Amino acid sequence: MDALASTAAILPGAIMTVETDRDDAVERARAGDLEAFEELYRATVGRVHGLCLRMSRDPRLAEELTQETYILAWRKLSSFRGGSLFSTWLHRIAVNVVLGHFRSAGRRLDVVFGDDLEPAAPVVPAVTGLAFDLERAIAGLPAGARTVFVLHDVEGHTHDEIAELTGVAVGTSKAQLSRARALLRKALSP
Amino acid sequence: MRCDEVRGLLDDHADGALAAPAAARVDEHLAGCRECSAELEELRRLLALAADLPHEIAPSRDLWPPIAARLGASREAVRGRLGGRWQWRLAAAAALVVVAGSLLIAYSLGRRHADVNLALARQASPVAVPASLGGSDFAVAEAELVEARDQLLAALDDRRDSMSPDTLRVVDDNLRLIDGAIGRISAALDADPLNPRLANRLAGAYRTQIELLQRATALPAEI
Repeated sequence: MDALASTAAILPGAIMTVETDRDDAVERARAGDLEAFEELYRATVGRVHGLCLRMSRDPRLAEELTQETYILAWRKLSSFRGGSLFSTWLHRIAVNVVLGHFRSAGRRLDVVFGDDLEPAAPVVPAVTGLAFDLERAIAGLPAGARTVFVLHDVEGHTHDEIAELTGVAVGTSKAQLSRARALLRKALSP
Repeated sequence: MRCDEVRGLLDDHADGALAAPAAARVDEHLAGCRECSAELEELRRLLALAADLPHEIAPSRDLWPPIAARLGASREAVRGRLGGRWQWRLAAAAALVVVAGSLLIAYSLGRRHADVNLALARQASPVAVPASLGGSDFAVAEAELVEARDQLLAALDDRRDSMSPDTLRVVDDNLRLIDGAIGRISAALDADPLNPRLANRLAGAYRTQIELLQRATALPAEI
């Protein structure tokens, strides 16, 4: 489940207000109002960039993918019917942009790349302690395992959604998640 | 249940994805097995830690200016989506493609009167760019080509309802890929503005994208 949607279950009034304001900005952006689109960008860029950063583990690439997400979102705004939250719609675009990058680079998410974590620097400098260790371990996961772990355990997608987004079978998604969790537990164990 | 069977189900159990009878059997085993219980606890600690990771991570710099710069050129075209029919936009875009395309290709190939030729635009061998053609000439040609591209995009948007989802997916995927290439080449050109190979590649990327859009907007209705 999208984190915003899950929060809405706790604070429906607050989220509805945010999304109502966002609906207004979406409508203005659909009419070609670039300032309205900037409002949407400001409200959502942290979430989009966070996803791109964790999935790509490359700060420069993450910024490029974030930009591509908003370029594509602007282009596709006319196809956004408002049936889903704007943040959810944008999140799917971001996932597709990142996965499209993987695909264009010739990588397949269902390929098993090896049994060990790759040495990697943490991509999220703001966290400390165990979270810092976890970020570093996530960054070191093989691409397929990292993608599924981020989408399932950090972003809250179901295996069905991940299968739809990535094009892999549900069973593959489950296997990659299990593998990611095992590698992370091993990395975090004392 | 044996330990190896239970451990194969712990991920689903922790996710609440097991059916009630299977979950009950796992719980029964866990009640009497310290090692498997410890496994589950360790897994739950990992999941709790992952769930607490920040979802929002601000980029190290403001990404809006480069996004706005790329979107700014299409602003008027997007406003134009609100009215009119796609056919006349297509005609206008086609005219722009010829004019701007010629300018950009002429720039990138070092010829002022080059034919609009896709093969030439994509040719692999680098061609010298004359120093006499300044960056502003290139910028004007590029902006006009971007406008032509955006008018074709608007025409494509107008036709989306008449195209199959599969076709649209293929077109959108390719547009996105070419956008990525344009972005990367543009960034490289910013750093090395007089590089003729990069100018040639940028011209080729724009032409490829416009050719794709021209073909997509010319497809017969599928629905």
